[in-house]
Amino acid sequence: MNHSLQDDALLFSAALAMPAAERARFVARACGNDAARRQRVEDLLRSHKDSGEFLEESLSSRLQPNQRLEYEIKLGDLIGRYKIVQKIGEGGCGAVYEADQEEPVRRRVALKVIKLGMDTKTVVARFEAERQALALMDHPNIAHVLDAAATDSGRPYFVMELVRGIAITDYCDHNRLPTKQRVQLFIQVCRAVQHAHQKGVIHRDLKPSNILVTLHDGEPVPKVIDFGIAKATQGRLTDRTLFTAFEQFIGTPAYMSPEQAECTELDVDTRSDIYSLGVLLYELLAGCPPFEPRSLKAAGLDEIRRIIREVDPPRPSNRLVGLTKADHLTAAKNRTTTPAQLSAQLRGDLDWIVMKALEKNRSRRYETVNDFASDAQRHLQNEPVLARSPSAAYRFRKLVARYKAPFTAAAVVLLTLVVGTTLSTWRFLEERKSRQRAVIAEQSEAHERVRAQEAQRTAEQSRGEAELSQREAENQRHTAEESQRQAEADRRVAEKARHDAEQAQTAAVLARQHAETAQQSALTAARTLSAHLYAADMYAVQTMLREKGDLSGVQRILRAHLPQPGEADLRGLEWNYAWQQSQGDKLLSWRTQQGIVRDLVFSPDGRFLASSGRGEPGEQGHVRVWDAASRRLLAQFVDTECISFSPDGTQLLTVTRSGHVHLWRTGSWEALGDFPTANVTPTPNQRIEIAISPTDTIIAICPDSAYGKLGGTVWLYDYKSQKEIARLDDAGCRLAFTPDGAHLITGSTQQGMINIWNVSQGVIKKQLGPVGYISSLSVSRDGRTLAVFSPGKTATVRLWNLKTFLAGRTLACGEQNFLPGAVAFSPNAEWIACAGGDKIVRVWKTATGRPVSTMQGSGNVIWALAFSPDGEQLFTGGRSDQISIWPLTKPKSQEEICITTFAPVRPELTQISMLFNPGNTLLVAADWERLAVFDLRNAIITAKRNGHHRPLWISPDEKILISLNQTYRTARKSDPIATDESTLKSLHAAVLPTRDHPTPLPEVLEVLGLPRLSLHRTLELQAEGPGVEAITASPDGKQVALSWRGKPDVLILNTDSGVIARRLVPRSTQTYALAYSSDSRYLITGGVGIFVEIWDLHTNEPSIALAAHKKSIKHIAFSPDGDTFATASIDQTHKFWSLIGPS
Amino acid sequence: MERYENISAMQFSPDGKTFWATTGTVLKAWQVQTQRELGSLPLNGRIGDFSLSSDQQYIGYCDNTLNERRLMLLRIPPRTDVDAQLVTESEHSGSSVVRARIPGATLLPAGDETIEPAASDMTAP
Repeated sequence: MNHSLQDDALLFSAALAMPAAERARFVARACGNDAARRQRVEDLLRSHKDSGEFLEESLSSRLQPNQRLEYEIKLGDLIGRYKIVQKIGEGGCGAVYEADQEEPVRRRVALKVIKLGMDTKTVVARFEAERQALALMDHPNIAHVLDAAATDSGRPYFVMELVRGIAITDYCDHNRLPTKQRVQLFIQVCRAVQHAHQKGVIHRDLKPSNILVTLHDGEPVPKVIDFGIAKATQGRLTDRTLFTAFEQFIGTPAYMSPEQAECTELDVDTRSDIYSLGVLLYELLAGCPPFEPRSLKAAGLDEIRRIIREVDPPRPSNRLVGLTKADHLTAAKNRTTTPAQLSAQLRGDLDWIVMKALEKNRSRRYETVNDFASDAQRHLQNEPVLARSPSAAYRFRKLVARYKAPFTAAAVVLLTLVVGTTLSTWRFLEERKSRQRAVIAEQSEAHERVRAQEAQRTAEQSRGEAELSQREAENQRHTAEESQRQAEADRRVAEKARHDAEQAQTAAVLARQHAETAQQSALTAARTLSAHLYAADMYAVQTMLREKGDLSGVQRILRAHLPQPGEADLRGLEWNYAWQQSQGDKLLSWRTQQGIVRDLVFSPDGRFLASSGRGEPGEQGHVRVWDAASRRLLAQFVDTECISFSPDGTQLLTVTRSGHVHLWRTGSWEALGDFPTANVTPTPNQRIEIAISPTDTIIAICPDSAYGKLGGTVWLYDYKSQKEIARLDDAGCRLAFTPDGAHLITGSTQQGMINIWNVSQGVIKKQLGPVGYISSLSVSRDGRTLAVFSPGKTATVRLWNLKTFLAGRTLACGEQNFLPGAVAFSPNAEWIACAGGDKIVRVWKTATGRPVSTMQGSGNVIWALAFSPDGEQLFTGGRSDQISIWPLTKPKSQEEICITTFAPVRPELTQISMLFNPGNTLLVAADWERLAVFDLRNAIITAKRNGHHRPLWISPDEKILISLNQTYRTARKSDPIATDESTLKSLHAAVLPTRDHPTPLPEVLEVLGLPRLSLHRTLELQAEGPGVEAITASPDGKQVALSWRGKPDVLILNTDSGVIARRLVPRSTQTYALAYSSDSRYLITGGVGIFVEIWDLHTNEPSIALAAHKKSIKHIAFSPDGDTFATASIDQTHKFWSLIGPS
Repeated sequence: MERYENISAMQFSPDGKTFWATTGTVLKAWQVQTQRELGSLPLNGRIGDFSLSSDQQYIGYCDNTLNERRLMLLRIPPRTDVDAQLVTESEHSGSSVVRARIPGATLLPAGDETIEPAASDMTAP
């Protein structure tokens, strides 16, 4: 057998711990037949003895103060062959490091070394005691010592198994172990302590933090650590056990036995550990130690001793009563039970077991830890425990509990016997009664027989008489049979008729069913056809809108899908969106009921808008006056069609087609007078053009022919004196005064020339052109610019400078095809607008000719154009009875509101997720940095909450929001935000397991109040992977389904408790997408692989798997009616699935 | 059934009639009954996640253009607004005053809301 030097060293250390007289026998027993090893260990012992006191002092203590090798152990340092990784614990005298052993084997170990400056004899002795103690023991529940040596500076250290675990009480609470499992775990601890006792070691500091629980193959394994103040039961663990000198207070008060509290070292034995184990079991069961640690901490040393020695702790079941309601509830929840049940579980055996271990007089405690563990085991097996005085009833109750099945069987047999016996007796008595009744019946029968014989004789006499009567009846029967045969024949005839009727009825029913089926089929076909037509039309509408096509055509298509009574409404969001788009750019329009709108004129003060129009050609026109602000109709004048307001706004002039002028008082609209002007014989297509001087009472009037193709004569009248002033021949039928009233500009449509007349002289001052067909002209209010609209094949608006009479810009107006239109300047001459046959309103900036706006949606040819006096709106009229209002500057965006911009700190993480509340008044949105609530009514943020959130569910009453907070998971990644060292350290401290933080901080579900995002509670998710991959809440909010990154399982969590209600194991190795049905019954999952799976959450049936796509599935959505779900894959396809099948 | 650019999000409309998915820069719609494409809403930017409000009046979406992430809200007039306008055009054809309601009116400057006719307006002088 080959033993390493390390093994020899351990054996040497163990031998040193023995009394000198017993060392030889100990070494002989330990080495057995291995003589060589025995020789090596004895040589070591001999050398140790020969070295005398030299080895009794540490190297550092032998150096002069100025020679002391003082240095701190740093991460990465090599101690022996161990590379320091990190410090994982520190006590008063020693420190524990996590280290890597590189050779001869590579493994992660724990290395305990005396702290710098603490290497006094006392501490070294205590340190060696622990090393010896651990070396003596070999138990799966005790940390093994692997190596021991001293650092280069002489500080002794030893290397032991690295225990990655958490305190036993924390483990039990975190995993919510019930009482039974806690006791089972405790028994394992007892076995370890018993082993230590058998090796002659008393731990003396047993407490939860010195018993760590790790998981081996998923099973919890407790490990006893920290034998730092252990003591030998016989002899000494080391020759340097000076630290337990008189009056030193060794141990932890809350777990310290009364004799340990006395500090009489000689009086401490294994029963002290039994007391500490009793305290541990007490805490595991009741959730707190017998004496409140805070009280002990606050008390002085003498008071602590007095409490431990004299005060009797309450039983565990009574201790629960003394807790606050919240603590009691927490203790019960941590044991997966209710407060009442927990008290009942502890009352009785467990109370006695614990209280026996906690006896002040150690002679009344369990003799050994094994007895203690056995008694706990008896409790688990429902056997009588030794801790209780055994009454007969108690033993019987335990017997029954232990042998439940045999006792139940015996009880059943006994019950069967009793019931059987009772039944047998009852049947025997019944049978005896029956026999008695039979005898009585037999006697009665004999009596009746005699009476019957007498009656028979009487009957014989009567029979003769009856035969006579029978012959008579026979005759009557023959007659009746004859009648019956006749009735039978009649019945057959009726039956046949009924049968024929039934057949006819059946045929009718079948025919009706066929008709209904045919009708249903036709209806279905019609609906399908309508749906296809709708889809095709919507697609066409989208194309028309994209190509800026005919908006009225779009509206026509959309109107065709307005549902008629009894028809299904196929319209959806896309219809509404298209309808909105089809409205064009106009703000508003209203109907004038005038057939057409030929002219629009504002009063100088802007209060009134007059429109003229008429129906069919030849009909008399009529004028209507509107309140410009409210669009209310104020007045209507019939048989007149041409309009203008006087410059002072006090009069409205209207002209009939025959040239008769009417004057009306503005406001009261009473007639002021009328007079004839041009001697015109109207033709059906003829109309009158007028213009009024801005500075005088002169009116210019001329008849127009159809579309103004013929030139005309213009008459000038003074409408105040009603006298003719001048007659301008071949002037043209487009009229406009200059602002100073000195000139009248006429457009000759015949020659296409523009004539500028001197009004006072009645002569042409200047001629401009030719410009082709003139449809409309306008002079800017500053008198500087003349605009002429020529709606040719390529329509233009030409500008002239009226001061220099030089031609200015030419503005393109598209194709108007010689249809008439209008041009107008805004009141401040900043804008110039034109509209005509292409139904488009165009606006330019006068000074630069830059297009300002092109507005569509008129629906009809535009003939009249007028700026509102404030210059902010355009009014148009044309070949419809509508007046439309257009904005001069389009709103910045009519549809889209940019609510907020999220910082692009980490583009891959800044995906925004969002959720509307049921009432659609709030939008909850979140990204990597924050969760925010937007009030949709005024588009402001009403609340914020920091952190990386994913909003999942809003309650129907809109008071609760469930959100996944992934802040910690996100922070655990290499985080570019946390660049400074301190932040990184704090983040890692928050997420990596340490002794202080045994488990990483998890992702949490937060239950928040709306709309303020106040935190109601949190539910921690037990991490099974590096972050949540997919998560969704059920529509009823009772569950959350989620998958972890890198894990296939889908977990169903109850949102009220955070408990995992169900674990689904799908076929995918990673789940990417989850979707609940609207009734929360079905869950659809999909991920890596081609399958989607349907899970019925009301049953435990296996899932239904569908081979859905060729590649992984990334998205799933459920329709609100629960009949259909959709899947989308990275193979660039998506599919619809019906859950109800074909009808 | 359909090949297209990879989608970033998808959702059935709240009334269940249509199915919406973001493919690149547009929000596309399909009719569930016929599974035919209905068209698309040309939204600004490259669309990430999106959500439809239950009244189908709002579309919230994430604009993933370049390095910026913007939360956008698209308001579409509810059908009641549209229907109101349609009713107006058919019901009041014989009256002298129009009652009109404009889609998207809430986004426009104040003063352009519904024009309610007074009783006296119904009779021309």
